[in-house]
Formats: sequence, C-alpha cells, structure tokens
Amino acid sequence: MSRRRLWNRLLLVLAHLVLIAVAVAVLLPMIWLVASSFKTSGELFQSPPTFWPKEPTLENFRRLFVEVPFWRYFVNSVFLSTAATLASLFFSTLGGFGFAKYRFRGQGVLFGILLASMMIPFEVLLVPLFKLLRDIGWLDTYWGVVVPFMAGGFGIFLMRQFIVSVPDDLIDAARIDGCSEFGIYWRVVLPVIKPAVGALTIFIFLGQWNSYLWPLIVLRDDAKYTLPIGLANLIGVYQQEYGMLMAGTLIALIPIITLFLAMQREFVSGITLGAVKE
Amino acid sequence: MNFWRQQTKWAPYLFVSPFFILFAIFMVYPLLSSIWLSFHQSRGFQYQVFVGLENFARLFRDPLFWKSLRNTFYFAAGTFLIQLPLALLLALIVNSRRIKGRNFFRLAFFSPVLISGVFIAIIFALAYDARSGLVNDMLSRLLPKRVLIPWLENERWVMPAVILAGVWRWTGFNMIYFLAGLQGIRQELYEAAAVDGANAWQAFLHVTLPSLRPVITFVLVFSMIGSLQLFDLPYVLTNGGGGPNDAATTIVMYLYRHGFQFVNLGYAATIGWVLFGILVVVSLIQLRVLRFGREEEA
Amino acid sequence: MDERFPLGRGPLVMLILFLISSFFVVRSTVEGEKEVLEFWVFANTHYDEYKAREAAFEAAHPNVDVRITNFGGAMHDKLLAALLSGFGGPDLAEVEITSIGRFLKGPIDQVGFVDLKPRLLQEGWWDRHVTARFAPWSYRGRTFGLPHDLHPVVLLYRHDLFQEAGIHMEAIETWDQFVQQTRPLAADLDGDGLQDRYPIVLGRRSHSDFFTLLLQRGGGMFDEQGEIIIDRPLAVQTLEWYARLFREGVARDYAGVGGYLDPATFALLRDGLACSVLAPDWYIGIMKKYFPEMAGAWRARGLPRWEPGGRRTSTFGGTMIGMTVQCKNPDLAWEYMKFSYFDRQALVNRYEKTGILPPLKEAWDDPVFHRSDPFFGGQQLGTLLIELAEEIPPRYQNPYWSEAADLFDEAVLNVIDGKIAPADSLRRLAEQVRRLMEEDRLSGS
Repeated sequence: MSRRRLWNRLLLVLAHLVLIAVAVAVLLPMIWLVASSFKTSGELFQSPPTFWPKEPTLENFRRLFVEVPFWRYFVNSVFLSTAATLASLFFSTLGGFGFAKYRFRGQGVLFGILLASMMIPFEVLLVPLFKLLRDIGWLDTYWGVVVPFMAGGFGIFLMRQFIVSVPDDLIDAARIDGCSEFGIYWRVVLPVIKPAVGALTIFIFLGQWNSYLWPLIVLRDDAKYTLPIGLANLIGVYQQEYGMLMAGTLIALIPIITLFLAMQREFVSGITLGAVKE
Repeated sequence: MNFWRQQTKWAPYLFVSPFFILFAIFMVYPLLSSIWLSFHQSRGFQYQVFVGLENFARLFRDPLFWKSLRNTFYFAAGTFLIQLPLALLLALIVNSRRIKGRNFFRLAFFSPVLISGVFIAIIFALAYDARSGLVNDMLSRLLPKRVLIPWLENERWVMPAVILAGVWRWTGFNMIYFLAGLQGIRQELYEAAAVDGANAWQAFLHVTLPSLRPVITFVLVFSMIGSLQLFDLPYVLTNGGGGPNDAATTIVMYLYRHGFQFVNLGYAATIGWVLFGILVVVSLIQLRVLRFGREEEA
Repeated sequence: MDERFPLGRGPLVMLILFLISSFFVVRSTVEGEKEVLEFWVFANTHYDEYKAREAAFEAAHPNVDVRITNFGGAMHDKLLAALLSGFGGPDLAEVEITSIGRFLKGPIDQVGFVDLKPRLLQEGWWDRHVTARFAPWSYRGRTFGLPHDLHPVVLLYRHDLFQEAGIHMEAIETWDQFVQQTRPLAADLDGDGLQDRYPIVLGRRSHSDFFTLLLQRGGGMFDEQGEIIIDRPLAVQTLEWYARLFREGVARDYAGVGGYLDPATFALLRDGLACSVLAPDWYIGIMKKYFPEMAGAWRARGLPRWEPGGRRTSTFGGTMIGMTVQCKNPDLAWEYMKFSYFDRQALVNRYEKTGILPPLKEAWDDPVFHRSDPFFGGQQLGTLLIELAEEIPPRYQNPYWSEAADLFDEAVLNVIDGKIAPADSLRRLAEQVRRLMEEDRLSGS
C-alpha cells in the first residue's frame, strides 16, 4: 500500500515537471518577443544571441507610429472585426434558434446542407469568390471582407446545440402571452444562452482579428489594411523590420488578451461544446 | 392578420434564411464557377479556352503538385504523432484535481492561439535563425555543444520547423477539447471500474478512452482538415517561396501560387477540387475507422 | 445597460467599439477634390525617395494629389490581379524585373501597361539612356516601362580580412584566380572542427547569383528571340564551377529566409564570416542603411573576369515604372514619370539615398557620382559604377520568367547538393520551361 502511495507521489511530481517544461516551452517565445521588441536591429542578429536587451530602446515603438500608419491599421482591424462579429452573432443565434426550436418542412435537408458547407475548404472558393467580388464591385471594400462569411455554418451549428437545451415551456409560455416569434428569440432565448453567445463572440472575434489571407486578397488600398496584413508588410523583399514587427505584434495582442481574460470561462465552455455533443 | 397569426409556420424559414442566402451567393455560385474554371485555361478573367480534362491530366504529372501533397501529409503526420498525443497527455494531467496551478497552466498552454498565424510565423522565422535565433540558443544551453541547425535554410529541416511551430501554436487549443471531454465523463464509471479491480492504466484504457471517442473523432477530423489546408504558417515562414527546393510548399500554397501569382485560375481551381476530393476521402476514412455515429446518443 | 442588452456583455463591448471605430473610418474616407495620381511601389527605399519629392510635384501641379503606396512584396500579385480584372489598379506602378514576365502573358494587345516607346522616341529620350537597359522591359517590339536603374554588379570585400590574410586583390584578375588565392580565408575560427569563415557568400537556395555570373559570361535563360538557352554548354560549365565552390568551402549560402537581404546575412558580413559578396548598387544602399556599423572595412571592385578581356560586371535586379492601361490622365502621368526618372535632381537624390546609378547617361557628370565614400574607406564608388555601367550585359525578358525562376532555384540547389549532374539538371529545367510554353494555349500566335 505504501509503495503504491510512493508511486502516486512520484507520478504527481513527474506530472508537475511535464507541465512546467511545456509551460516554459510555450511562454519562452512570448517573453522573448516582448524582450526583443526593445532591441536594436543589430542586437537582434547578434551571435551568440542575447535574451534580454543589452541597451533597451523604444525606437521600434516610435518608428511604428511614425513610419507606418499603425493607428489606421488598428482602427480598421477593430472596425472590421467588430462588424463581422456582431453580424455573425446575430445570424448565428437567429439561425440556431430556427433550427433548434421549430419543426418545418425541409429542415433535415437544410441542416444537412449547413453541415456540408462546413466541409468545403475555403481555398476552393478563393479564386471564384475573388471573381465574384470583382463582378459586384466589392473588391477593395469593407463589404467584401465581411459579408461573405457573415453567417457561418459553424456558428449556427454551435448555437443550435445550446438552444436545444432551452426548455420548451419557456417558449410556449411566451407564445401564449402573445409574444412574436422574433420577440421570443430576443427576449426569451437570447438571455438564457448569454454564456454561449459570449463564447461565440470571442471565437469569431479572434478569427477576424487574426485573419490574413482573405483581407490580403480583397483589400488593395493600404488605408483599409488591417493589422496582420499591414504589419506583415514590414517583412518583405526589401525590408526586414523585425523590431517594428515585434513591437506591433505586442500592441495588437493587447485587445485580444483583455477580451480573453475577461471572458475566458465562456470561451472555453463554448468552443468545447461542438466537440462534446456530436 | 392571418399571416401574422401563422408566424410559427414561416418564422423559422426567415430565421435560417440569412445563412442560405449568403450560402447561395457566396458559396454555391463560386463553387459552380470553380467547376467551370477547372475545365478551362484562363488568363485572368477575360480569356478562357476550354481544355476539357487537360488541367487534371497536367496536375497528375506535375511533380511539384505531388511534392506539395507529400509535404502537406508530412505536416499532418507531425500533427497526429506529436501534437495530438501531447494535447491529450496535457489534458489528462491538467484535469487532475491534485495538480497545483491548473488554471495557470491551462491559460498558458492556450495562449498561442491568441496570436495571429502570420505573426507567429514571422516571429518563428526569427527564432529559427541559425546563429542568433532563440531555438538554437536554447538548444545550445541544454546541450554540451553549440547548436547551429539551419532550420529554414535546409531542405530536411524546414518541414520539422513548420511542424514544431504548429505544435507550439495548436497543442493548447486541442488540449481544451480533450479537457472538455474528460470533464464530461461520469465519475460513476471510474468507481465501477475500481470496484472491478482495475488499476489506473486499465481505467484509462477501458473508461477514459472509450468515453473520449466522440471528442477524439472530432479533434482528429478537424485537425486533419486543418492540416491539409495549411497555408499561413509555411507561407510566411518561407517568405512565400516554399523553402529550399519547395520542401515546405503545401497544396494550398501551390494553389495560391497558380491562382494569384501566375493568375492561372483554371489550374488553381483544379488544385482546389483535387484538394476537396482528398479531404472528403480522408475524412470518410477517419470516420469509418473511428466508427463515428455508431455510439449511443450522449 | 449590461443586463438589458440581450446578447450579453461581450457583444455589447463589440457594439461600442464598432460605433467608435466606424466614426473614425467614415471620417477618414472623405474624398478630396483634387485629381488623384495613384502610384504603387514595392520597395521602401524607392518609396522614401518618391515621398520626398511628392510635395515638389504637387507644388508644380496644384490640382494634383499624388498618392504613393508601398505594398511590399505583395504588390505584384495585387497589381496583376487588378490589371487582369480591369479594375482597381493605379495610374502608375513600379515592377520588379523577375515579376514583369507574368504581366506580359497572353495576347500582346492585352498587356496591362501602355507602350512608351513612341513617347520616348518622339521626345528624344531613348538614345540618352543606356539602351541595353530597355531590354528587360520590352517584349515583341514594345517597351512597357522606363528603366529605373542599371544595377551593375561589383564585388564587395572585407579589406581588413583580405589584408590580414595577405591576399592582394589587385593581383586577382579572373574568377579562377579568386578561388585559388582566397583559400586562406576559409577557416575554422573557434576550433570546433567546422568551417566558420568563407571567402565569399553566394546563393545556394536561389538561382540569382548563379544567374548573375552566367550573364556576366554572356549566357542567360532566354535569348533575344525568346529561345531557351539555359541548357547550353556555357551554362552547364558555369553551374559545375559554381557548385564546386560550395563543395570546396569557398562559398557559403546566405543566412535566413530572406537570402541576401536577410539581416542574418548582413550579420555574417559584419561578423567577418563571409569575406566578400556580389553586390549590385542597390544592395550597397541597403547594407549601409541597416548596418552602418560596417563602414570602413569594405572595398569595392569590378567582378573578376571569366577570361582575359571579358566583362568586369553583370547586372542583378531592376525596376521599371509603367503606366497602366487604367491610367486616367496619361499626359499627367507621363509628366510625373519624367519628373521622377529623367529629372537630374531626382536622379542625384536617388543616388544619395539609395546608391542607385541612373540609366540616363547625361546625369553621370554630376559631382555627386564622383564623391569619395567613407563606407568604402574613401573609394569613389560612383566612378567605379559608371566605369562598369556600359559593360552590363543585356537581360532579355520573357513571359515565362516567373515560372522559370521558380524552377530555376530548384535546378541550382539540386546540383549544389550533389543530387544531379549540372547538365541533367539544366536540361530538365529547359524541358520544363518548354513544356510550360507549349501547354499555354492563350499566349500562342
């Protein structure tokens, strides 16, 4: 019995060691990112390298605001990400409600199409979608970035999973009280699924804030650029401004981390739901 | 009035319609047009010549296509052999009540997902530098000799470098899925196993793994789809060029190259459809092997 | 408030942020009333140069708003997509030499750039240039751009290290002599059994340096008629020689993903681990900008010759400015082109900022091109470049360059890595490019 206890204790120590090792491996590049954003370009490429800056400088941050329209990118990112998130939230919850709480003709087929749409790789659509946007004059517009993905199958699917468990009595009671169907959605269903909506919020926002390929293709005017495409330009054929890029990445992370820390509970519970309930 | 009273009949159609309207415009139409394009040779948007199945024939004897396919599966294999087992292990550990600082570890492991893939790739490009990068620096501190692996400059190392960056980025994310699955397992199952005299390992094999099957299926299928569509990480990590000897060119990078650099839209569409075919086949095989859908309703 | 918004706290925050940001976005998209001249560039050194003179042009043309945008490497993809889709392109754009090929595909009448040759001949600008330099921007008798540069290539070397090793650069006439006499520079400095220092740094993963040397020798990928000549004996011999440099420890590869422009490569040069480098004029400008601490140790000279009496330079890289078919006011755009490419002051400024020698010969007598340069220990770098300028080889353009360049990298790398014989590799490359041309059903005729 005591051998078993010893064994358990050993296992526990080992488990902690594994966790610490992985945590170091995960966090080290981040700490290095922070440290490196205060280095000069000469020091960034010193061999053997330094971890902490020898002569910390704010030059990278200064140049970021002077040489690059950083605020412009930032505001564009906020604008596009919030617009996409709000639209997507509305359509996802509404669609999820439609599928979860009604029985209607063709429901099975429609839901099947929705699930299948999640399987189509975006890259197959890339070229023709670009062509379509050109035909309707949406290239280089904010519309072109946001609208095509405003009502994703995943969001509707996820919301349906949550709304299914909203008690039917609640909805029927509202209906008897003379509530319109949209009123039921707005006043009965939404308040109940608030945590799930919170999860979806971060999920969509994160995807939009970080998205690269699609805005890169749609946007042309650099006054409309978002942070990822604007900053990625700092590393190009004729310039390699790693210091500025690191400084920019750091600032771009602030809103995401704030949002995440404020809503981490909802987020984690939300993203997992799709997996647990098939 | 009657119309208003009947709203339960038409309301659901209205509620789900935004998705289907957007789906019809931004998916069905492009899909059809993409099928049409794949039978044409095209120069931009004005000029098309019908070439029948020639694009497909050309694709099958295009050595670079096969190479990009191989590279993509190489990455997927890395994901399956390193990332997912590691994610499961971490989830098992973090799930234990006896672990101190569980919340901290969860957050820490998850945090890379918050950073945009492009930034991760650029930062790793710097970290992989042979002489002054973080990776070799850390290896040099752990090992007796100075390590100078030319991660991104050598055909053999470049894909492992991409895989490693992928592990860094996605392991914590997948861990969260496993964790949720573990938390959904009813405690009575373990108690029953203990009554039957099962040890920890047996309990893992006979209780944990079977209960996790839906989650594992989900994670496997979605990581496979994600791996086969890999783009931003290797694209940025290799400055868009695909690395030495195209050793890190993935299918989607190859598609992008033809579609947006050579503006050969027909060929790009062909690559897209072949990729789609591969995705469907691979997903079906996975679901079959994991006997998806045969388990009792949870 | 929080309780009354049915979507919850997170979405509420989103809504507030959305409203704030849309205020800024809407406010800043108000259009001006001036005539806009849109100009896209891809290199930040060029961007700085044009930006500095923007006000001067606008002062001379009060109703014009010049909008210069630097898109970096993604510019070419964007520009091509814009020209092919017939929408959203600029009035003017700069294009890089390896990218111009893909703009020339398809029927010649559908090329997205305006033929400038009539204007050049009519106004007499043609003969005042190094005319070989129109070749990269011309195809089937039309000239789609003005040359920004000549980009003669020189050999930069670490004077201090060469002296220390007792090597006399003046005595080195040919490449073979260079290889023989610089051997003492190959060294293992930290005694770990691995060579750290190399006489020269050259591209292993990219074709560019090999191609530069091949051009110097009179070879190329395509000839003037568009024939593929990369599988000729001259190219095979040169590649064999080139690969041997790597095997024998004479040359090492550039560092990092960015190749010759990666800061890690500049660090190699700074730390004395690579003692020389092939450098066109623009490269020197970038080197000075990012690593000013390297000043003093460097000297420049013409390239060693391939055989006695051969060329002492080659050409590497290049940019043109083109007027797109979407240009709204061609005469105004032409004025701007001349203002940026033919104006003496512009060319002097360009040289001062970027070190790039202009192709307009009459500018060369300006004293700025004959100053002594402290980065090169007082050497008159401009004089050297001018001396070499008339020797630069022509570099013929072809619509298949982009695809060919892609395959070319691999062909060179595989030979250096010993996977395939030079003759076989180049033959295969030529076959691949020929097949590309045959399979193209749109460009024919």
